[in-house]
Amino acid sequence: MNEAISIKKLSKRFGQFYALKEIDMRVKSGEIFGFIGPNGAGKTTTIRILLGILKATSGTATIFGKDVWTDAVQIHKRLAYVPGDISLWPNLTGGEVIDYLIRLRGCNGPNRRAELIDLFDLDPTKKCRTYSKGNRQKVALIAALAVDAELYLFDEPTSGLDPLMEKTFQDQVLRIKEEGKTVLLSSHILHEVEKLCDRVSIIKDGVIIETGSLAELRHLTRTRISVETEQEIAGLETLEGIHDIRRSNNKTDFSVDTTRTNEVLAHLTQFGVVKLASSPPTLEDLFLSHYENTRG
Amino acid sequence: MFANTAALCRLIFRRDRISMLLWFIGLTVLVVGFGSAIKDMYPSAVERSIAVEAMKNPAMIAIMGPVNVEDITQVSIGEIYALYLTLWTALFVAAMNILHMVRHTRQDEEAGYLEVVRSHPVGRLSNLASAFVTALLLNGALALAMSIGLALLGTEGIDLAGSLLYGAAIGAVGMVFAAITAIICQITSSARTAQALSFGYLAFDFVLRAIGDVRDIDLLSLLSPLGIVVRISAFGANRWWPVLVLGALAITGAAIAFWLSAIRDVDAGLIPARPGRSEASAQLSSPAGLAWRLLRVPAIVWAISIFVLGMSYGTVMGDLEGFIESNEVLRELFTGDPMQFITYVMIVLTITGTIPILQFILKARSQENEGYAENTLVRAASRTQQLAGYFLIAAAACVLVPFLNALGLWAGSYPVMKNPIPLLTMLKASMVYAPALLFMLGVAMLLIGFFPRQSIAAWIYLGYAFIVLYFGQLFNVPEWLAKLSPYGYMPQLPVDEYRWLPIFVVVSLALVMFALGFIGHRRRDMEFIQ
Repeated sequence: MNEAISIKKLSKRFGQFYALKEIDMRVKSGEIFGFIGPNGAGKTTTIRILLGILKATSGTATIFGKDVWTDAVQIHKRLAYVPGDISLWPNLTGGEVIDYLIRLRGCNGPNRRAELIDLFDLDPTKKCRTYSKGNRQKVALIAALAVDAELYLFDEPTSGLDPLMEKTFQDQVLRIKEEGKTVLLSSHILHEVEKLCDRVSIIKDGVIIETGSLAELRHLTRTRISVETEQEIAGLETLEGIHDIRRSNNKTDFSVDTTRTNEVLAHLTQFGVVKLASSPPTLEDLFLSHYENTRG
Repeated sequence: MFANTAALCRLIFRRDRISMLLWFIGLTVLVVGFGSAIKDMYPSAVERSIAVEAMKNPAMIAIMGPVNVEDITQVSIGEIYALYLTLWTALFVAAMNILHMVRHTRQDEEAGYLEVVRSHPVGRLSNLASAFVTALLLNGALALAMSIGLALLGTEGIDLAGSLLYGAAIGAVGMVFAAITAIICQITSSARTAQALSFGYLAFDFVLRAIGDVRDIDLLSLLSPLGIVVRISAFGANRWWPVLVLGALAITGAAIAFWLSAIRDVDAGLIPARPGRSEASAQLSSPAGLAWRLLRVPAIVWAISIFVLGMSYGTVMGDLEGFIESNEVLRELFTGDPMQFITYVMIVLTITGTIPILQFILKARSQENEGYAENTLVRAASRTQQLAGYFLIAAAACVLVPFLNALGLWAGSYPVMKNPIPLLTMLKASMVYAPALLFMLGVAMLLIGFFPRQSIAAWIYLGYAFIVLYFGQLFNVPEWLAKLSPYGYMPQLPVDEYRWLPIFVVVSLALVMFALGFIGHRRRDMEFIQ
């Protein structure tokens, strides 16, 4: 089996509103797949359909080749899920909730509970009512990571966590990947997706607008160039694919479409380059340029 | 220390304008409305003195307070009114004040509102002060409305002096409970605990004065604010000293609360929260185990309450015959037969007992709604398993509720009756309603399966059944209105003949609705507020 998740022409309608419009997505076994999009784009709806909590209006979605709606319980035995905002029973302690959630997976064997509580620095004796957002998220993460699964669904898993705990989470994801497990990571924290993911899909208004490896997606984006020259650069504005020029003294900053880099560099050398720095496009740029394109 | 208290008060009024208005109207209507209803109930002096005599049994004293009348042959309507209502009005007002104070002190603190408020130029004690000031205004308005309302009724025997005393006493006892709750809120660090302790104290107070009043130990009653308030004897002796004592108690209590508030940190209680279990017990291993864990405390509290309610109806049965004959309204209801009284009590007890059943099954819905169910459903647990836990507990309650009703009624009536009614007769009379309870559970299941957002309809349906059945016999409500609820179809044992057909039909319908509920629940989207 080399496809962990397969979604074909999946739509979800709430009343008159289409939350998802015929989306397609494939996540291969053993890869970390990023799922990005702004709030309300349909990420969580997609994940909830994958979990059999919402019923698709049309289209198919399978996990491990099984239908996510009819075989939900069978599928859930093999996956772990962390929501972005978990509701925890206020009168149970964190420890009790973790144990309950672990036991529901049907796994009573040894687990990583103690180790993870230590790593994430959680006090399991406190009632969930008293936990902050970050602590609630830790409970969700510990319950999901304590037992082995084949597939992990993370929906903005680090919301509310401090940077130290974010790092701990990333380490755990890398451990999972080394063990050959599959991960679907929906996130707003772009450097996280960039650091961890093999491939990403970008979703907006219920439509997947781009899918590919980060390397593939970069062709669409611009590189930021910061250059210092002996003479003032002339005619930069007339070149194709140049955006957002800022000048101060003999320093110039601008963005260039990745496909036009060669012509632009050739142009720059005429003016005696003293210093040149280029920053590769981050996912953030990639994200923003998409929205500019679709908006414009 | 108290800067900007006025602004915080306005905020409280803005946030609570609906609930405060409802409390205000509800309590005023209760107090004034009863004053108007009682007018024609006991037209002659003889009837009035019989009514008072009937209240002189331990069960009534425990529930209504001590019987203090000036002259048993010359009882005024006002005195009877005060005997019936003083303690219970005080209880309602106490409950209102407990909810108000917890909400605006500890609950706001727990939710983090206080932190936001305190970051502004607001005094350290302003928040507590604003809770007190609004409580004072609310209690004051209530006291005034009750006094004026009662005085304006023009009922003979309900005069202005007594009305003013009644209102003032109710307002004062409200402030005492506001102050006590404020102290409790400083001591504990969670709103839930504060609320539980405050209501626990209210119950303790009630029991303390019940023992004191029944056994004639004045000192015991006077230790309880509820015991003090019933000693005003409004419309009779018209004593003002209890009001002064309550006022002094309220001021002392408030001072203590302010002092405690001043010496503690925000978010801290004077008693630190105990750490809970770090690992779950074996029980917490399945969705059903979780359902029981979440419902067990309410289930136990309800079981005790239902038993005690049955018992308190039972204790009345000793005086029943004399009681019914003396009272025209009751005579109309029961036509003088104690067996008829049992059928009536069973309806009241059964409908009350439906409340926990709906509460237990609708917990499944609120768990879904508030996002808790998701935690279970994304693991290896099916929807049916998730719902089944709550369903089984509610279904068990459908059998346990009538059983406890009968047991309580029997336990209460056995010691006081000359010819005790056998437990078996009562069991038959109560168990016959189990199918109706199952039907109500079925209605709730159907709503959960197909109309989850309209789940509240189950409560409206229960309210309808209650009104039709409770008042139906009094006001000659058409038969078909009663037949719109399952209770109306059950044979009223021991007076009616046993009939199999309606029971069979109602049970079958209930089973069909259970099945449909589970199917609907499996097929639809789970809903969350997000």
